[in-house]
Amino acid sequence: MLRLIGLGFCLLLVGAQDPADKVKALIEKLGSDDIEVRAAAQKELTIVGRPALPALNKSLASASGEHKQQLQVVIEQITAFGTPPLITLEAQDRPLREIAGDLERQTGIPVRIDGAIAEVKVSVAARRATIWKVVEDLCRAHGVVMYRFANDTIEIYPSKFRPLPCVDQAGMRFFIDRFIWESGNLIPGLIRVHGGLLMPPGARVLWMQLTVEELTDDTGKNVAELPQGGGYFMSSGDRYLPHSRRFFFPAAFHPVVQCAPSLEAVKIVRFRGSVRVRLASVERVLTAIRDPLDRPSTPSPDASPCLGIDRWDRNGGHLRIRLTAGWDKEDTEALASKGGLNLYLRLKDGHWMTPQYWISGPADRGADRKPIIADFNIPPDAVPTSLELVAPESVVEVQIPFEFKDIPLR
Amino acid sequence: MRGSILFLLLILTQAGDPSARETADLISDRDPIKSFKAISALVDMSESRRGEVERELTRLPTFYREVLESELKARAALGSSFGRGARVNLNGAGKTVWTCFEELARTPGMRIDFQPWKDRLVDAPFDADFKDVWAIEAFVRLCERAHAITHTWVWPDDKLRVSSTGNGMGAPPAPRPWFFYRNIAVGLDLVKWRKIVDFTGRPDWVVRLAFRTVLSPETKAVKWTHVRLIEAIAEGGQALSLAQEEDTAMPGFESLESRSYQPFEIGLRLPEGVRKIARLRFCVTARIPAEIRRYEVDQFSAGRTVKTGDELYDIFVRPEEGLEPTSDYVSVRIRPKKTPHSQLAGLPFRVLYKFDRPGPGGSGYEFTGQGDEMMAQTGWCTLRDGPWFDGGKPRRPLKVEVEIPVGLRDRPVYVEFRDVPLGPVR
Repeated sequence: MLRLIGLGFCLLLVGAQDPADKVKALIEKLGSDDIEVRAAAQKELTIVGRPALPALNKSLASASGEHKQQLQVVIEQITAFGTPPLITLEAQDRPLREIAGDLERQTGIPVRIDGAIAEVKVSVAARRATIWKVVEDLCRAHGVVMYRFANDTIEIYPSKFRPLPCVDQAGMRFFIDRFIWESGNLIPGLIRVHGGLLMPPGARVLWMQLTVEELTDDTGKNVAELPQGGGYFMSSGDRYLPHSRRFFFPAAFHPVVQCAPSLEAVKIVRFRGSVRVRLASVERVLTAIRDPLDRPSTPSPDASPCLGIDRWDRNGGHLRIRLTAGWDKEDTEALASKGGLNLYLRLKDGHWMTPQYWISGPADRGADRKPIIADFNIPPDAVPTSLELVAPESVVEVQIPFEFKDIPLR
Repeated sequence: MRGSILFLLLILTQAGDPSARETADLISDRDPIKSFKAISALVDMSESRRGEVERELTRLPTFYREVLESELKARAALGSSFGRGARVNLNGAGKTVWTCFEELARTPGMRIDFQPWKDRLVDAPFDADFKDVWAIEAFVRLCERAHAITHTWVWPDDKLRVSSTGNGMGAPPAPRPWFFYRNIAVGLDLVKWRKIVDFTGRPDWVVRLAFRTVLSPETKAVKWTHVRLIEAIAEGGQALSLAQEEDTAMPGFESLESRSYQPFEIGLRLPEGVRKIARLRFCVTARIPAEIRRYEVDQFSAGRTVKTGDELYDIFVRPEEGLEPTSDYVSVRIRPKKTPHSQLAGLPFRVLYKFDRPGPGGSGYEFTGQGDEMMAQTGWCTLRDGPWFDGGKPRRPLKVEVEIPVGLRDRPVYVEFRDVPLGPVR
């Protein structure tokens, strides 16, 4: 009991300190003999997120033994999952416009309010809740405003609130936007699902994969398990590869064969499955070009790995780069097996983009150094600051099981 | 004296024709085919007896009054682009579709192009029995008999085109309901059922009706806009409403091709159990250009951009270097000067090429409405110095022509279907 009171007191003190001192104090607590103090400090540091990384890395250089291990765990956790977009807010009858400003300031995620409802007053209370939970609560309480994710922004607009089924885990949220059931004289009938994963900004998602184990209607028909072979796949393939490191990863899930619930069905009684997310906890930049659009760059014939840009073409939000990349097969095979070599275009605003089209395997592709075209969709006004050839050295995986019940069909 | 004779001749001529009143009496909600035929006759009659026709307006059922009023205005505004409402008789035993097409092609306003599909079409003899039908209707029915498909191409042509349903496809196209009026045919192409489960309550089915259009070459419709539902009545007498815009937390994200069908479609909310629309009335606007303006460039020098244009558009023909090693190309950039590009979205235009040796002759495009200008390109020639990408002699452009429809005018088209089957949800 005394220990718990002591721990609470410590955290209270930590909460009152300035951010640098707070991080320093938490790092010291990571070396504590008390397991609960260590665990609490670890949790606090992951909440601080990326701003804590410089101090953590500095401590890592001089640390040893168990303290070093603790530091490594926290660094990898923050690298993989980014900074949780947490909100602490107490608002009574304040205009949405002002609340959006608070949300944006606390998380760095842009929040846009439709002009027609900018002055609508709402109340919301949150303490260290994720931004998507706060936005959802706010819209639910109001009833006729809804949120959506567009252009890496959260938009709140006038519309009937829709309670989207979701699961929160490890600072992430998996949600279902809608089921789309189509039929017609060209389509025998299929039901597909649109949804998405919300991640802390900067999380290093390598891929996500969805498994639907059951989609059963009230007549007992399980669309995910038909005699001819059912199940669902992601529209982009087995796995969804994100094209940016922003916070929202949309995805669609299609049935393997065209199938749909029974026409007599009144509801989906159970929609069950899981989302697997692989993240890079340690990444190695094999080679990089700074200010990549400033001038052409030719890789040295002897250098490996290497990266060079021959030409590029930018048209609105579409950037096309002709580049030469080279790497050693032996060096990269093991890395590629963890998630593939990746090409990151780092932007001035701190975000990363990955190409829409890019050959990341087989690993020996780089050996012949033939020109490769990489297509990026980036904001028209974005300023690329570096192009990096990156390989994951260490990865973590998260499994988010979901089960949604009693979804009306008619 | 001469005036009196002319007046007498006019009276004698009119004595054999039905009066506006007699024609208007044929218009009723019971028979849309007769009603639209009578409306067409009144529109033609209005050239010489406008006052008499207008007096009948108040007697007409509301929908047909609106149609006739609109048709009178459209005829006055569009002139020859309004199109003739020719009716034809094609009768005779043991005819082939080709003899029928040839006869039909002699009808004023009906120019028909069969090539290069002719040898692929079904041409078994049949007993032709087209009595007093619109020429466009006879054309569509002959296409169906020939197992051919037909539609008005995105680019308005000078001829009606007949296309094969594909080499080796012996089956006729699925029968579809058609609406015919004067030189316009509107066919129901596709019926798609769609249910969105978005967690707001109990979802309804939405039926999306996708249409195709066939117009005689007199009326060059380059775009279809503003579909306005006037009435949709289910077989049980229920009024059907337009489907609401779908809400989504992921705007712009769509995993399947589900954009609107061209040239237009209508989405209706369907209550449980409805499988047929008893009456469907809507109005859609065809956009008709006053002219197709042609811009030509025929003087080129290697590596140089060439410009032409007028008060409406600047056209640049430019050498470009692509990112791929073999991707030299020539771009044709079209920059609107009066109308903002965003307002031109969806408007078709065409670029035609003539090279110094054989190559593809041209392509059709649509303005995207994004950015300040629209770009078309061809990789079949180059304006750059040096050898062709394969080391050989480069293909050079001799002439580039850009055709853009200008001076768009509206031609409202009223459409009525009866007993539209919606098919089962499978």
